[in-house]
Amino acid sequence: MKKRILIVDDQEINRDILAGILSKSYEPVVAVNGKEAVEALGEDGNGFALVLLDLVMPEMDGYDVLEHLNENGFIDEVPVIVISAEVDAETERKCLALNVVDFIRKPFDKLAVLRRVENVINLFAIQHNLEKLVDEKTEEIKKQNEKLAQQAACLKRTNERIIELLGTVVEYRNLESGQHIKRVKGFTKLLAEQIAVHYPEYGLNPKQIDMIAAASALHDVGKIAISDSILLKPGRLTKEEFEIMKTHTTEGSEIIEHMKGIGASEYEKVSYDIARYHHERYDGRGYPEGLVGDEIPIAAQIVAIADVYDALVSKRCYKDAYGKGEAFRMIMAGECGVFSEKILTCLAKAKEAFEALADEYAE
Amino acid sequence: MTIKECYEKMGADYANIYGRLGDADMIEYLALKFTKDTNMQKLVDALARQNYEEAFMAIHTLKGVVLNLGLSQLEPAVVALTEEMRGGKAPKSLELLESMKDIYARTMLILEEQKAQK
Repeated sequence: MKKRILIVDDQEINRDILAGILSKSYEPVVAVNGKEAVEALGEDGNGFALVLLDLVMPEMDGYDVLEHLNENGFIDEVPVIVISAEVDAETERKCLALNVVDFIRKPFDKLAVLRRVENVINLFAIQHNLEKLVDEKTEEIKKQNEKLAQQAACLKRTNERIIELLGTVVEYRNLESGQHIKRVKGFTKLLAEQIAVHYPEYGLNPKQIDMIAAASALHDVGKIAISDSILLKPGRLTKEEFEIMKTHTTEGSEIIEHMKGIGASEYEKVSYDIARYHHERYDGRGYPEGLVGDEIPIAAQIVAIADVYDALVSKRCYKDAYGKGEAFRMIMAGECGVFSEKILTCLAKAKEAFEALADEYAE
Repeated sequence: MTIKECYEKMGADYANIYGRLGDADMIEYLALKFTKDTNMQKLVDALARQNYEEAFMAIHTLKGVVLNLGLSQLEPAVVALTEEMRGGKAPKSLELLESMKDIYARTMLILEEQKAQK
């Protein structure tokens, strides 16, 4: 099937020569003015591979045809070459602005006509196909990306569930309930969000906050290594018993090291830090390493306060619950450990939210 | 005679048009079609009525044909007069105009002769 070319020129000699040159390889169709050209192109460009367009014609000149083609978008489907005797710079500019692809000079040269026609048709076809192909591929990639995003979200949820479950197992052993985990997680998140707003230097973005909150479930995982006699003792611990109790931090971090490879690796460091350092004190008098100030990883500092607050407002085997207002006062007054001033100001801002959460997940 | 010989008889540059179109049959077909040209008559009529706009259209069209057909014997006159009349002006080189008419007439005779041989 030969490709169809529309030749638009009011002069018979021009139509004759072009048709003569092109008829071997293409199917030329002629129009004597712009009006006939527009009719020939019809509703959808009528399958023409190319239009050879004269500019000066009666009834509807080349410019009018070009404007028509631009308006209805045919100019994107069918390339136009302008055939003209004089193409000065201004004419050229005007044509190019109307999306003309090339120019063929008069009087006609057979080789020039054939080559330019061939080049334009081929390039146009390649470009058109390429655009279509790119569009198709882009759609495919979009769909795949959506799928990947779904899978990532699913994976994240699974990871969080695993950690939560592990934490709950441990907490059950020292007679805490799953609610304790939920509360600590909630307090951690609230506090972290305040810090992200007021102290951006800690670099807490939403992804990190989610990770810290999820990892907080494992803060006391090390307690599984502590014997019942100490863990569940209702009275005061002796000095030796306390030293053993303190090891739940290092034991916990060791257990988490063993967990490497299970679940996402980004959680590993955060979980490790929280388990190991949630009993450090800002003034360096905490354990196990006596880290000072912001040497203590921010995740551990946050979970420390969350844990303390929850311990205060809950009944434990060794104490009753304090009132929420009293618990808050004690922490701010430094009666339950030494914390960073910055974080305490954030806690003050989160006070109502903490109290609401404590009620929501009460035993 | 061949179309080449015909062109030479007219004083036209056959090498030029053959170089451009490369097809002797097409050239002959088009050249013989030229015998039906009406543009010279249109030009003469329009000048007589002093309608210089119409006259310009006619000579402009004639110029296109002459150039396309490589009728170089007519080229200088047609080109020059087209420029003189651009914008709908009266031609100034009246001698040139007359000379052009003569060459045109001679060209037609030779082409009709060629046509008769077919």
